[in-house]
Amino acid sequence: MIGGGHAGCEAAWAASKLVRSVVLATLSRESMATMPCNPAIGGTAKGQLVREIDALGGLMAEAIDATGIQFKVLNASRGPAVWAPRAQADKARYAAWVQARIQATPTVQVVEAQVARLLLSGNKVTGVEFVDETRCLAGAVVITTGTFLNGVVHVGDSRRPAGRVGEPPSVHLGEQLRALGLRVGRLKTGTPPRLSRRTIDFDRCVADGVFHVEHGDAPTVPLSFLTERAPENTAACWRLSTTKQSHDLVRSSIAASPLYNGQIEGIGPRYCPSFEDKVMRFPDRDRHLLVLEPEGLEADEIYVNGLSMSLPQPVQEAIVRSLPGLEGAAVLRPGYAVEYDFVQPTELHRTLACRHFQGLFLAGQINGTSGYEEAAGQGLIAGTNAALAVLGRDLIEIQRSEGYLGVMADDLTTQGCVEPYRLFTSRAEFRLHLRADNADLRLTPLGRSIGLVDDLRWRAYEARQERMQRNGQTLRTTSVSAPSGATVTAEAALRWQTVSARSLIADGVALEDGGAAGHDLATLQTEVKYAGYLRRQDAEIRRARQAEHQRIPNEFSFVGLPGLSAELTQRLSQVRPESLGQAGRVPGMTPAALVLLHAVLSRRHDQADAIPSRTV
Amino acid sequence: MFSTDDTIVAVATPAGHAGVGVVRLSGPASFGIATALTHRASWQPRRATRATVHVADTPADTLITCFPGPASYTGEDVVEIAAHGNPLLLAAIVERAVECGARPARPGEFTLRAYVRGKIDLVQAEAVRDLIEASSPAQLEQAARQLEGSLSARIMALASELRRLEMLLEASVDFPDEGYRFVDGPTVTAALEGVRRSMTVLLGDDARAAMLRHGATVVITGAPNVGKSSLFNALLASDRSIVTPVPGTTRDLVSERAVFGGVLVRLVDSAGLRDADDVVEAEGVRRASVAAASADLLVLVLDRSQPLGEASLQPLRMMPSRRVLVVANKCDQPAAWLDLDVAASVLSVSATAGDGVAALGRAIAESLRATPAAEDREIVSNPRQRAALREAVRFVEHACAEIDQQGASLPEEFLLEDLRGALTALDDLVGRRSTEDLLGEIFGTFCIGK
Repeated sequence: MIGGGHAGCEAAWAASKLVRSVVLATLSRESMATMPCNPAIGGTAKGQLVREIDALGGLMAEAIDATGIQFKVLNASRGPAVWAPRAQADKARYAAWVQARIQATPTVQVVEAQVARLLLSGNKVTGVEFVDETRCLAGAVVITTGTFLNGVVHVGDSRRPAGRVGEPPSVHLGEQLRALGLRVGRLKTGTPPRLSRRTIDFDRCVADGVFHVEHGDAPTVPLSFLTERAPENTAACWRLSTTKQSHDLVRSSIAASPLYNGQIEGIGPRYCPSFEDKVMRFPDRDRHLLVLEPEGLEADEIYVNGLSMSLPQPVQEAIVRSLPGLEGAAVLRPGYAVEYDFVQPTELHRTLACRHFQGLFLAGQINGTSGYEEAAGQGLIAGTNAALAVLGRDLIEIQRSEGYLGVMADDLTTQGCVEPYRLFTSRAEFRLHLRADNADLRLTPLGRSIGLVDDLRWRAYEARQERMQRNGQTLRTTSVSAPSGATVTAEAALRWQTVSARSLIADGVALEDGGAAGHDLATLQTEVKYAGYLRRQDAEIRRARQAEHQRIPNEFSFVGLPGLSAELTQRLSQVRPESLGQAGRVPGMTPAALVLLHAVLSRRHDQADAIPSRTV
Repeated sequence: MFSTDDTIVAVATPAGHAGVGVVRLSGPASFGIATALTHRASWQPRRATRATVHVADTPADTLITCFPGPASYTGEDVVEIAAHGNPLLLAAIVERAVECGARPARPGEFTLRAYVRGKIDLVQAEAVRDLIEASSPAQLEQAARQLEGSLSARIMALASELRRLEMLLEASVDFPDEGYRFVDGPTVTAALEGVRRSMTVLLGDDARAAMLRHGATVVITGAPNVGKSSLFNALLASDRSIVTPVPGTTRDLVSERAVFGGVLVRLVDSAGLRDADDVVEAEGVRRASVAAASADLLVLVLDRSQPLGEASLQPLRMMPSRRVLVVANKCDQPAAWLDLDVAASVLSVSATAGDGVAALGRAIAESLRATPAAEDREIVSNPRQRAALREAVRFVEHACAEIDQQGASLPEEFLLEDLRGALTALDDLVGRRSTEDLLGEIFGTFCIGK
């Protein structure tokens, strides 16, 4: 594993359960599993993803449950399919928790060293060579170098390499990847300034109505299926609004922003615009929302969510002090923009294995994604598959209908990246099925069959299955009285709008809620209340699986197919969809072209079938 | 059925002798084949050029036009060879083209290629077929409008309205804590209602759509032996129904399509209404009654030369008078009665002599036109398109009903499921999403050469 971020740590942890020896190379042990940007885990789609990582035995959910300081379910006012757990993290404790878990794993050896290049034999990766020219031979290599491939940090007109000072990190490796012919692009992301908590009078600002205090949920819901006790909220966040004065400061200094003076070429995420972009692109809005988030219980740093920028430090300080309540706030570290190389993920299979190099896997920001959760999820897939490859076993490919993990792997390898990729629930066509409450039901059996799920988790899963059966039985056999006076089954009553699983329990129906997370009740309630929608989606899932089962052979050539435009031919040749279903999602694909492809594939199939009969 | 990399050839004009016949080629070898047929090396694009085609031993005088792709009907290189309209000659030209490497085209294959190359969408492809098959001015007009893309444009406008809603609702779900309100309940309801109304207009009612597509059903009814079949034949100016002096000759329903005054009609001849002893005739009488009851227009035939039977005017009581035309037949014979006390208009006709038959045709057209036709222009009449549209309406109605029932508490993601369902149906309608089966079905019903 090259890199010790969220992708590298999950990759090492997953692989450690399958193979005898995993080496994780990191620039420094202390930087493993750190959070360079916002101090939070989860959120819309990401929360569901964290539950999936947990269902497959990953680290992230347990780590945040153990070290989080405020827990919330986003979209709680909406339906269960989009309920999204999120937690504010204590950054230092989170990283320490993961580091301790990795260090305590005997099959993982952490080395502090910089990788100079991959060792290759033909197109097979055989290991890595470090800058001191020592070597590590390996059956498979996972690259999770984050933003460190030719990374450049911009603050105003100052630029510096994104690695350790004086040691341009991963330059060699980046050059090698280019030289090997992998398509490399450039992206940009950014982070806001950090303020000193000691210089802000939160109580007075709340009293003055300048800040609006935000607390966690009561009761809280943990992220891991294994967490039995609801975690505690120990910290608050504060909302405030930007002002006309702060917007004017951006406008008058815009020429000094590397984003606006041509210094930055990489493409940033549209869904997470910099403060410069917010002001310049939406000139009619006179205020934007900011959230002050503590980076830890004892940490002095306050993260200013919504204020990502790369203006010169004096301008950033002036902007901060122009905000209500922050007149005396000290800027500990300015915000910055970071530009970095990424490998177009269309170079990968959905297993995150590199198409052209055997034994090479890529995960995390190097694949164009942003977000700790996305990185961790890919790390889990890549680490698992790297281990399976070493063992000579079949690699796993999670389907779009099985999890956000599958949606992400398929989106990345089919569409490629034009901006940093993050998950949204709208990316999932089977959203109703991909819920936070049923991630274990969807994925834990798969994890068990591979060897990722230990006995403890498997017993918890089996116990939950049994509870669910008992709950189903209870619903069908218990009678409750309707407002009309009639007697109905609890199952029928649960379909009514005013009835919930909890209200049934209050009315004496003996449903079990299975502990702090309350997943059982969420699952039960959703499957009864929205049975019609879920059935419809199940039918769609079956149809989609059929399209996925129509495989496109590896050696199939898209060149010279009649009726395919030159552009589409090129794109298909690049993406190399592995099934008809995936081909349908290649950008620019038309229904007519898909029909053509289908026809050609079935003709090939017929011909293949015909060969034996001819030889008879 | 889809091989689109070769060159296809077919006679594009109808079978039989005619002044001119056209052979059409499409595909990469089209120009080469034109050269092989004529020994002429170069062609000016889109300019009719006189050339001799050598078929067997006879040289044929032809006019050849070459359309280089993509600016052609199919989007490929297309050649049209206009020759004297002798079927043998045209067949010989096709045969020569096949010898030169072309493949005989299957029905609809030229239009299929236009679709595959993105020249037209599915609705337009179907319009091509409807245009060819149109048998009334109303159908012709509808097909032409559809081909020009106006129906597709209307469907796409509805789809983009649904997509706008989808986008706003998705944003609400994915960005719950941005402090913005993307869309509120009443806006969603109003927009969905608007889409539902537009779709309902496009759908019209089934009866009107069927009338537009298959013609209005006009049933000739009356007592046995009053001359219904004679009148049927006179109206069609053919001998389609067997006419005999034996009462009860017509036992099954006989129908034929015809156009009266620009209105497409399915004219139905039915058994005489009486209590029949014969089992077969009794069944015929039953069917006649059913047909009469579902007719758009009833032509009640009476025999002017015989005294009226008791039950003769019975059918008038089943139908509103504006949907019945009363015909006093056999007006060339001495009249047994003169006036009738009925609300419907009475026409004097002699089916055998032909008197008043043309006037009856005009009266049929007028009665049918009197029913509301203005909104017919909007109605989608193609059964496949109707099914897709109906599916879309079902999803939108489901969404409206759920909002109605659950109000603001209906979670967006479920509303979004209905929107996705409706959008998928609309995509199916215009062929943005299609399966091989569907394409086979559609293009398989074309004529060869189109």
